[in-house]
Amino acid sequence: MKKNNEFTNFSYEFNNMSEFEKKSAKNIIKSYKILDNFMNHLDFKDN
Amino acid sequence: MDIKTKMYDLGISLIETSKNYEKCLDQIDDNIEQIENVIDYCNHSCSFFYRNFAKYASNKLNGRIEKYVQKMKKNIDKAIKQKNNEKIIEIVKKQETFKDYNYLKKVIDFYEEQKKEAYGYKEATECYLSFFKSFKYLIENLLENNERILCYIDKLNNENSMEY
Repeated sequence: MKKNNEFTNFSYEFNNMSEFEKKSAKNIIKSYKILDNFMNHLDFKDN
Repeated sequence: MDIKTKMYDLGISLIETSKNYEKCLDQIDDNIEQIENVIDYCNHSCSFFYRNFAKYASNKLNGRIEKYVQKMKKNIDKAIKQKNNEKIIEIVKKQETFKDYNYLKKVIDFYEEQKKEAYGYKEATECYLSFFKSFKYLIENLLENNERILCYIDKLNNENSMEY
C-alpha cells in the first residue's frame, strides 16, 4: 500500500484483504484524494 | 477597473459557475438513483477489514466536507456583513477554475467508473453511494454560497444606482 498519512492505520488490514478489495481500497483512497484536492483548491485564508 | 464593474463581472462569473454546478448535480443525482436501485441486489459481502476501511474513508470524507462547508459559510457571512468586497472577490476568484465544467465532470466520471467496478460488492457500492452523496452536499452548498453572494452583489448594484 502506498504511504498515505491519512490511511496508514489500515496498512495491516490492507494486507489481509482480497485482491478485489485491495484494488478497490486503492481506488477509494484515490477518490477521497480527488475531492480533498478539489476543496484545497477552493479554500482560502481565514479573515 | 472600479469596484462596481469588478462586482458586476464577478456576478457574471458566478452565474456561469452555478450553471456548471447544476449540471453536475443532475449527473450526481442520476448516479445516486442508479446505485440505490442496485444496492439491495449486491450479493457479495466484503471482508471485515474492507468494511472498516470503507467506513473510515466515507466518514473521513464527510467530515472533511462538513468542516470545509462550515468554514466557507462563516467566511462568506463575515465578508458580506463587513461589506468586504476584496474578500468576496478572492472567494469567487477561487471558483473560476470551475467555469470549465470539464474538471468537475472528470471527478464524476472517475466515480462513475469506480461505481461500476464496485457493483456486486455491497460495502464497496455503499462507499461510492456515500461519496456521491458527499459530493452532492458539497456542490449544493457551493451553489447556495453563490446565490448568497449574487444577492449581495444585486443589493450593492441597487445601492450604487440609487446614489446616481
